[in-house]
Amino acid sequence: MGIRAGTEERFRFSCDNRLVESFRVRFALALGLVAAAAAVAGTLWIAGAPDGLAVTELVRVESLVDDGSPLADHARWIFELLGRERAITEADLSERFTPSFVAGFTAGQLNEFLDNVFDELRSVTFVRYDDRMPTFARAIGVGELGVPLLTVIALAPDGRIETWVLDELPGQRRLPGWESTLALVAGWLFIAVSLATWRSRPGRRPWVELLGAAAVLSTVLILGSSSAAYTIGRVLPAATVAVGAWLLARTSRHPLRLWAIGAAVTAAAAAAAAPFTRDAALIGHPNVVGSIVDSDSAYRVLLAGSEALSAMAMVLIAFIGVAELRRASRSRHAPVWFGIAVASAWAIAAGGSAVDYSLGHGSWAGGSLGVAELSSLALVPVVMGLRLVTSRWDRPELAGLVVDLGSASGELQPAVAAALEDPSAQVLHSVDGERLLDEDGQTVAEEDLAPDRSLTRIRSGERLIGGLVHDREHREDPARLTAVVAAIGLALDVNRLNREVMAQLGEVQASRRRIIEAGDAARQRVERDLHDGAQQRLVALGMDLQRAKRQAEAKGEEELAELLDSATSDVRRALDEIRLVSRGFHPSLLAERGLGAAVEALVERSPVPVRMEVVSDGVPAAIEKTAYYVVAEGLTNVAKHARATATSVRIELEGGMLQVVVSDDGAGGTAITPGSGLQGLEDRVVAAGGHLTVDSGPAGTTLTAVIPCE
Amino acid sequence: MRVILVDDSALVRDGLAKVLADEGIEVAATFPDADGVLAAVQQLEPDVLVVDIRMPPNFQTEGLELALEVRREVAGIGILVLSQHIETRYAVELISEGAAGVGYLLKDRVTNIDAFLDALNRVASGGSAIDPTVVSMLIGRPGRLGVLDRLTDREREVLALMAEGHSNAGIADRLIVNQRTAETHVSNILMKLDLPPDSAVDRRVSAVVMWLRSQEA
Repeated sequence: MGIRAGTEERFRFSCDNRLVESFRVRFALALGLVAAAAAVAGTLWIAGAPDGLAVTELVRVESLVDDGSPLADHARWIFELLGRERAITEADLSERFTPSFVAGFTAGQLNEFLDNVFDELRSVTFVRYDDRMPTFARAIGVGELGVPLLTVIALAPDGRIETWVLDELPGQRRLPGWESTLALVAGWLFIAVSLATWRSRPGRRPWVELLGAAAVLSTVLILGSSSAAYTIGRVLPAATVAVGAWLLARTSRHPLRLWAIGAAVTAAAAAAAAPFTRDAALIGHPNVVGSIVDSDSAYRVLLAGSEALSAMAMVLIAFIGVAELRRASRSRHAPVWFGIAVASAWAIAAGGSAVDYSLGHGSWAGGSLGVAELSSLALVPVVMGLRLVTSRWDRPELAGLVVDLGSASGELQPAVAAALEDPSAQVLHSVDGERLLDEDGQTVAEEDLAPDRSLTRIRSGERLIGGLVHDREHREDPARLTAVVAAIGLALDVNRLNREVMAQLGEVQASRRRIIEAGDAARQRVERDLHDGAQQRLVALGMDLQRAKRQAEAKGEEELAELLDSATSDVRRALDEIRLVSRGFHPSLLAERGLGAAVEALVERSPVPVRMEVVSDGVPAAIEKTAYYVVAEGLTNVAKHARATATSVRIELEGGMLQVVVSDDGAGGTAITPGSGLQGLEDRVVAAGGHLTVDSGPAGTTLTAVIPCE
Repeated sequence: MRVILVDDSALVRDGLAKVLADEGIEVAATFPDADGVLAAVQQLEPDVLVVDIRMPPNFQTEGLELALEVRREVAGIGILVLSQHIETRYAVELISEGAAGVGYLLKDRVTNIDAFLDALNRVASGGSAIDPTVVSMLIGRPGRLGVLDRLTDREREVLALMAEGHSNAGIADRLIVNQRTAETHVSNILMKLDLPPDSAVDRRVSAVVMWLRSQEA
């Protein structure tokens, strides 16, 4: 039952944790839902736009050859419609291109005609909202990313009116179907990476990622009829280059980083300004709010400048990435490499677009190069995701840190540097709870640190015990920093407690030694007092009694003589008893002739045969004394309890340790019990810095003391 | 007989002086420590120097060192070392240069005046007096009985008396046998222990004590 209760307890604890965790998840989910709802609403709003063709941009085509053929006639008709500047409806087209009409031409002729018309009318777009896309669910379905929002009407070779997948967006730039798909993918990737960042790095709000999502998704706003929305749809996507640059260069400390971001922001500003230099006012089409100038050259210059700056920013970022490779740990190489690749691709595409715009074209820039830029943008969240994932891979290093710190030999500094991937991470400690000191004992103050360094203080309870100087970047991953700091705190605390315990242990040992030394001194004093006093007095008394006895005998007083003789015997017994006691009090032979002689004297008095082996040259007197008491106590125990037939005493010096072993083949059953002689002996041995073990079993008892000889 | 007493206890010095005086033995001088003893011995030429083993200044084995020094310096003098504690090691050290005129007794023995005087006389006449405690520790040491097992109980008694420094007559006296019997025992023992038959008591003591000591368990 006890185990079960414990399990439930743990379970509840983990539930509590999960609650805290899920709160953050729910918050992130809510944010994601809001973003998704905004995207859905935008899509819905676009899907709800009026049916029909919207001519977004009119290019007068003068050069279409009027060769009098029926096809030329039809072409003329198309331009008439365009000239009337009204939306062409499906009905218009089906009335004109009947099956019988189409049948009059070969497929080749029809294709050529269509090619001509559509080539010349490159920027004329026949757009309508597809009847066959009945639900917005399908239009925005993430599972079918790439389902077009729009279709284009065109002539099929068989003359049938066919609705095609959106091929051109209204507006300046061509946006093929899969380009819109890319935009959607990029948008959703930004939303996803924002949520992931929000969840795993609570310290960092993913505003920039969300701005990226908004910018790229806002492209669809130009499909609507509202000029305000159209303006946002034209302006906001310009921010993508700034977002991309900032996110790619964010984690770097490189000084060029600021230049890169500056260039990207300027590029974004130029791109945002470009739409205002074009008056796209057409019937049935929204216009950029506030556009004042209609200057094609201004438009192209702005775009060319913007792309050139973007290219510059990306080149710098790629360069910074290469520099970063040298600093980053292996596990971080993947996102850095990927970031370099993305920035390079973007730089090439943007550079090409800049050239294209400056040459006065814009078709490449609006076409495949634009797609390449958009692809690069869509890969930025992937770089971010990789960063998150690889930083997760690093987590085991935190466990490693705790393990390293747990082992006594583990050095704090390298373990911390490894766990933080910050070779310059510096652990500080505090002695007085106020100042932080480095390894050399120099005071470290926060204001002395380099601008990219950060100081985190480590406390145990209220007390400041240390600090960590680390790269400012780590503030963005508080989970890792907190874990490392907690581990350091533990280590510092353990070290401090260790020191305190060792100091206290040292004191305890010293006081134990003092107690034993004081006891020894007292016993020696008693022995001296007995020797100088009682023993001599009794000897003198014995002699006097004997003399008295002899005098009594001489006088023939037999009874008195007998009495005096018996009194003398009592005196001798008293002397014997005192001798026994005082001998135990102070083994004078040890001081006079050393450990070997003293042990030999013990062995001589042992009632059990003793094999003796003593090698103790150069052992300090204090240690000899401890060893002597081990042998004395061991042999006393053998004599008293062991019922042994053989005993051995072995004393040897090995590697600076004096080993004293007393073993017998007796009945065993010996143990160090409180208040026993062995307990006192253990105190003595431990006070000398050694340890005493008793191994007692049916095969006999072995008493082993190991005492260090400094 | 003339004796010099060296003992740091005045009580013992006085008591012993009285005992000796009772027996008509002259105490030529007394000393509380080893200072000046050698000079006094050389000057007063006593028959025996009685010295306590433990004396100032260190209360260790000053008496022993004094005894050995005097023995080396003054030929033919008897030396009787007294001690509150008996150590076989000290007995061995004392007779290491010959047991003639050497005695080593527990101080308590002075409370048995007859035995003490006997020992004193033996030492004075160039014999030996080894305390029975030393001998019993040597003979009685457990696990040492290999060769001694071949001795009869009587022979072991004789061996002990030999080691203590008694002459054949002394042994006969103590065991209440006639001297011939004692002599037979002695020669049997010496033969069994593989020791040379030597009639000199002091060499006998050294030989027996050293033999006993050499028999490790």
